[in-house]
Amino acid sequence: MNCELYEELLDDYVDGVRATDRPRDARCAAFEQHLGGCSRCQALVADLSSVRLTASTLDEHVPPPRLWARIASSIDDQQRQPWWQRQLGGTFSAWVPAAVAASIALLLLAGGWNVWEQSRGETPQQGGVAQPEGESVPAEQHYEQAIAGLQQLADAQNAALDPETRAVLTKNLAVIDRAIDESRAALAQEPASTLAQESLLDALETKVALLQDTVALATDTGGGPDPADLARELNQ
Amino acid sequence: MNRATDSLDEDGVEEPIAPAPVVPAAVSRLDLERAIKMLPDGARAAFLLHDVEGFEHREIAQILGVSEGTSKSQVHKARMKLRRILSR
Repeated sequence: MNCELYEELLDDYVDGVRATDRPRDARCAAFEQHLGGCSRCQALVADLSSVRLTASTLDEHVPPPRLWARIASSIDDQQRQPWWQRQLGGTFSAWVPAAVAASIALLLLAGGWNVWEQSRGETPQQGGVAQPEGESVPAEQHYEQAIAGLQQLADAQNAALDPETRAVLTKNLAVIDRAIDESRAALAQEPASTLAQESLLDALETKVALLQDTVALATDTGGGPDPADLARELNQ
Repeated sequence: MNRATDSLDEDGVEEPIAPAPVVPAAVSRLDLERAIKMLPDGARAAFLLHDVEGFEHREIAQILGVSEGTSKSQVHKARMKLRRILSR
């Protein structure tokens, strides 16, 4: 069997691409012929199709900006620019349609929680997060305090940002606030729900991250305090 | 240039492909969400953008600042790893 020859075509097939869609690409027809007689590839197509089908039904969440920074830096470690410069090429608005307005699904849920767990010095558990009921309260208070302090800083430095950027940030904060409200409502209905707890903490972390980035962006444009002073303030 | 990405998702374990499906035909959303959390950042981002959000590889390449080929390989790695996790 030469299954490994068809790895890329197999993913295309799972995505719905057929040989009839690419009449000039003989490899597609060859793969479909191979697939007809290969139980391993048939099993793989069935499994990956199941994964893909369920993935397409997952809810959307707002991406935490700092997660984007980590992702981008891990993908290309040689790029050391601040995340907004890397994503924007100089204009904040150029990044927005691609990242925020697209509302990347589950990045928040999938990434933010692990980061929060690691910040607590714990190892993420395999197969999910078994969080004891009520344990999210101290973390929630921590985030609330951070948000209050950052909000003051962000408000004070808002004037340093251009109107378009301010509008985008305001809009994104509104989205996050809505996510926080919805998470709190879900948690009120089901206090033991791990997903609701995760969702609330992730939304709070997202707001902290966005406010941090807002302050950093204002600082970068010359309107804010010294970064060292800012760091001390954020750590209080 | 994208070696960091490629190495990010390589766990050094390439399991043989089973001759029969190992993932339930109807994967639960909760199981998948949990499995997604276990993916490395790069593969997770590419997977979410492609399979959840429906972006094309060309678009993902632009968003994440990688090549289209890297986007494809990251999605493939993510799917294979999810298959392995969900088969447990």
